[in-house]
Amino acid sequence: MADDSYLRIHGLNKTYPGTRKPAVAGIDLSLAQGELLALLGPSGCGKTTTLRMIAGLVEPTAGRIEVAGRDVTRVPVHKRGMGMVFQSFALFPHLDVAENVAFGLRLRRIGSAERRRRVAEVLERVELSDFARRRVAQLSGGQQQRVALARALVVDPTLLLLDEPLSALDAKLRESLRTQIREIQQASGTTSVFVTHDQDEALSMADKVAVMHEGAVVQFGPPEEIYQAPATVFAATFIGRANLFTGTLGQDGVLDADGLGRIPVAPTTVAPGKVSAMLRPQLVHVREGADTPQDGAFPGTVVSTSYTGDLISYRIDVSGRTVDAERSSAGATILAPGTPVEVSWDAADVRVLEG
Amino acid sequence: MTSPAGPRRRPPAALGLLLPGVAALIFAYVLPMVWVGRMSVNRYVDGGGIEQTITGESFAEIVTDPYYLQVAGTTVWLGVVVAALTVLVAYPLAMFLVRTESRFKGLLTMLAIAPMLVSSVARTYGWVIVLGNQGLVNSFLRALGVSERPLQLSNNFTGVVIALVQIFLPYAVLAMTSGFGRLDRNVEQAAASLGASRRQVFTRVTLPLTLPGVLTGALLVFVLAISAYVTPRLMGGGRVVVLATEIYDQATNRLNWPLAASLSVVLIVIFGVAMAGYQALQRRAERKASGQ
Repeated sequence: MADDSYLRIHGLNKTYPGTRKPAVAGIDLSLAQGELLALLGPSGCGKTTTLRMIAGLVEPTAGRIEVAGRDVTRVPVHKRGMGMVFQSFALFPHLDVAENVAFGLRLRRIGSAERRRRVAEVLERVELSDFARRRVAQLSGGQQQRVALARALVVDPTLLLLDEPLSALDAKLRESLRTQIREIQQASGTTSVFVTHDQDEALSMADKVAVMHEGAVVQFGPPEEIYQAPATVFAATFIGRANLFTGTLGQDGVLDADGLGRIPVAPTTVAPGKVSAMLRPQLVHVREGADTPQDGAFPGTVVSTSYTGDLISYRIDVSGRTVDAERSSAGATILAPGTPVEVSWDAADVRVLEG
Repeated sequence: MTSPAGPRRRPPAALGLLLPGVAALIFAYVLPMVWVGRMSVNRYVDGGGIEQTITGESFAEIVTDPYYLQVAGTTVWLGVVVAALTVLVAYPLAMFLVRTESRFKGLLTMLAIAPMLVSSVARTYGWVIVLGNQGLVNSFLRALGVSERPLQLSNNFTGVVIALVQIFLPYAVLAMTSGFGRLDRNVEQAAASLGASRRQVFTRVTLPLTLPGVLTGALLVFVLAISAYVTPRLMGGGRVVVLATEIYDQATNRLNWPLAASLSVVLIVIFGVAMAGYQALQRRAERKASGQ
């Protein structure tokens, strides 16, 4: 395809010797300059192998990787000019913070004056200027992570690669670093690829998300598309919570859902027959009292209630099936388990999935 | 090193548990050492007599007679050469054993240290057979017509070095594999991703991080080599005189116990100097490798 893609991956495949099933099975991806791509999937889906192939740490069995129009598939790791942040940070324990950051610059034979300037600059950007002479073992996890980021960014990498960069940190730190990494990445305009199993991380940071499952990309697109219009059952359930209905899609575009009867669905290109459909919990309307059921609404009973501050989640029994519903807690009364309710939704919010 | 919990009172039982070890050390180590120290300042009377006194005559003889200085020099030189060569041979082996993902890793490690099960006397005789003038290596070279005159590989310094390197290899491998714990594939890959070639990864990352293990291996082999007796005696064919063989000769053949004791003290001093040097180097390497 003739486009402005900066990173282009074509038919990338990795089959480890002695295994029949490929770890990565024919991936195609492309990314524009300055974009951040998240490879999202459960462990063992091939996302880290893909990242390592881009980095040059794992040799692909087949396929091609192009960066800025140049085929780098057979270029050794140390000549690719990429920056990589490892899950374990992989800082040099025998060097201090400034020496860690300067490592790549020394190898590029950059003069000491410029080296010092660039190290100071990048340390300022990651807010570690006061830590330049510290030993890395004296730093906290979050600080080590930022040193790793600075070390990768200081060489002006052709690509910034991040392998689960936040998974070794605690939840609070993860969130603040997520924002910081995103801001630094956008400010430097470095095209980046990062691997994660955390959907929140992928959705909040990335310009493009590739959902991976069993070595293949099952869906590739911007975060809102991935969330709102998941392509497959796997994508729908892996990203966010979802009510799944199975049933038969009729010629008239109405789903005969198992246990619920006929429910209208959003227009779809999926062929009539046995299908699954998805409804996000926050799109389910819940109304107390079930004496006068409205048209298209289902009577039900609250089974359990969970209150998490800004949200209230309900599990509701609708004629033997469980429907998850979620609503903002602002100004709402919390319905106790056992309360009779009426659930309804807009037909346009029920999405038919492939496979 | 201070305990983080601060000073604690030891229960009396703990002291009781120390007793057997302390008693054994006093009986088998401290007392003989004191005895050696005392003997080193006695006077040797020609004909095998020992006069109880306090004199520095034996030490004066050692530092003024070029013969003893040469023996001490040979000993230190042997230790340095054997330590250096053993470390060189053991390094790739230890590196392989630490890194291999083979399911035979345990077995391979066992095999690498298995030679320790055979006494060094037996192994030295093995080398006599292999390296002697009529030995395996020279027969082979003669059969090939490579050399008419046998290669002098035994009854000299070279032979002692070859045999000692092989005998001490397992010790060095053990010391190194336990010292390579800080080595991390990811750290080396990080260096490569930043532009380091294989050679640069080794010199800038791998070597600094493995240096503490290398130093421990080197010290261990040095100490073993300068105190080795059997191998220099058998492989040296009487031509390689080191402190250990000289101490034996003085004590049993000449019955000059004061001189033998003084030479022992010299050997202990060499130990001490090597130990101090090692600790200074190790502190630096350790500080670097662990980032403290």
